[in-house]
Amino acid sequence: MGESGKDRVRRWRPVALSSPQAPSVEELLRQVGRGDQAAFASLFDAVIGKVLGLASRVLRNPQLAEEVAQEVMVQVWRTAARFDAERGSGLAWVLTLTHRRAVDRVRAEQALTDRTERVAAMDAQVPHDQVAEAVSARLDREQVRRCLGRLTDLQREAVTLAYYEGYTYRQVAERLDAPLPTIKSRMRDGLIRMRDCLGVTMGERA
Amino acid sequence: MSGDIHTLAGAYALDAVDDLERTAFERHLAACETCRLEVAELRETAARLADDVPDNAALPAGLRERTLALAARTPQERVDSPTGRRLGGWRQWVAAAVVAAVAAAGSSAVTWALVDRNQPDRTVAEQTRRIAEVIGAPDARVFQGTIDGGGSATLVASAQRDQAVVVLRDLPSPGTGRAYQLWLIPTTGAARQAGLLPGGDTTATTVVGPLVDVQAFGVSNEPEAGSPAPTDVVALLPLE
Ligand SMILES: [Zn+2]
Repeated sequence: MGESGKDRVRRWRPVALSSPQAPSVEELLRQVGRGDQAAFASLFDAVIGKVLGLASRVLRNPQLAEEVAQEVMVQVWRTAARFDAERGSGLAWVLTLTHRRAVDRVRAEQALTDRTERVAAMDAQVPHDQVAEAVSARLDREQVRRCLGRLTDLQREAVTLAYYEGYTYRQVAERLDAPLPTIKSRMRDGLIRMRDCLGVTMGERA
Repeated sequence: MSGDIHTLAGAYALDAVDDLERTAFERHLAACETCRLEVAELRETAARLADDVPDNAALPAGLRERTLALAARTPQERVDSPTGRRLGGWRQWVAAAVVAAVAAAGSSAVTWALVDRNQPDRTVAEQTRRIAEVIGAPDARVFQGTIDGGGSATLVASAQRDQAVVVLRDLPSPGTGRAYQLWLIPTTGAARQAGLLPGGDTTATTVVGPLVDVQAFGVSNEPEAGSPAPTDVVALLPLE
């Protein structure tokens, strides 16, 4: 401590932050892919809130959402070895399976007509126990909202009607009274703009 | 619906295609590298839309037990899987930093007890709210570093909020009767003191600001009572 301040200056170096907490979803998926049932229980606990949340949002029906969540989690167990971290994050993989199944179920039930009025009842925010979760979830949510806000109105409507309501692009086109090719390209342009805003990149380009 | 099948990538990633189109597009994907990469990224993007859906905090009774039992008797597909690589990106860094920061707060209230003349005692809830505001700011940027001898620092700065969240973890002991002091270093003029850790403390989470004209964040080792100007700078983090 005898030296002068300037001589003692040390430069910060960039470093990757390792998670201070539980193993990542990616790591759990790798273990589940090798048949590890304890890892599957941990994975279940890590993702079930989001899986149920997304299924409930699309299906607007707690009973159906629960069924879909169970199907998705068993599908995750069955096909975990297929997960490839080069092609995306573990949570995104699970949520992609969830969305696909929820949408398939919506269309199978042909329930599109009577779901709208139930929005209010299901949308109530649930308080989180964990402050940490609340803060990082809030970070994620605000980033998504900010990026959605940067889309054109038509892009945003096309993307959100498809994702949150489970509409096909044909149904979106009818609902918005816009030509099919327009809606198709707005969905793509909108997602590309979201991708750039969120900074989503695949492994080799990160 | 023939020549421009590439443009279906968005609708496909949103599951907004019917079964016939899905099959056709997946056939196309098998042959088109460009679309495969685009779809992977757009799928990842679409999954982020789930962040704006509240988690289902109330787990339906029996769901966990039923699902685990069902899985236990369901055979798994076997695939030769390549060893995966983690995705990077600043968002994951921020999330990890926040978790680290708030975990530190939860484990010890002392972590919050920065002696700062400009900021009288605040409750953890109040601090957490302020931290969330900075980190949730649209322009939040992350700066990250380690110190020789151990320890790490993360700084999440928002020019819009004019504040930064600082997370110091596991610095070396400052020595008996000494403490770490935080500084905001402007482009011109003297360093502004931004907080003083309790004597001997090596971990802290706090909010510093304002950031106007600030070009670096610094940490110095000082006598326990603090110094009007840094004397023994142990770390400097450029904010650019
Ligand atoms: Zn293509």
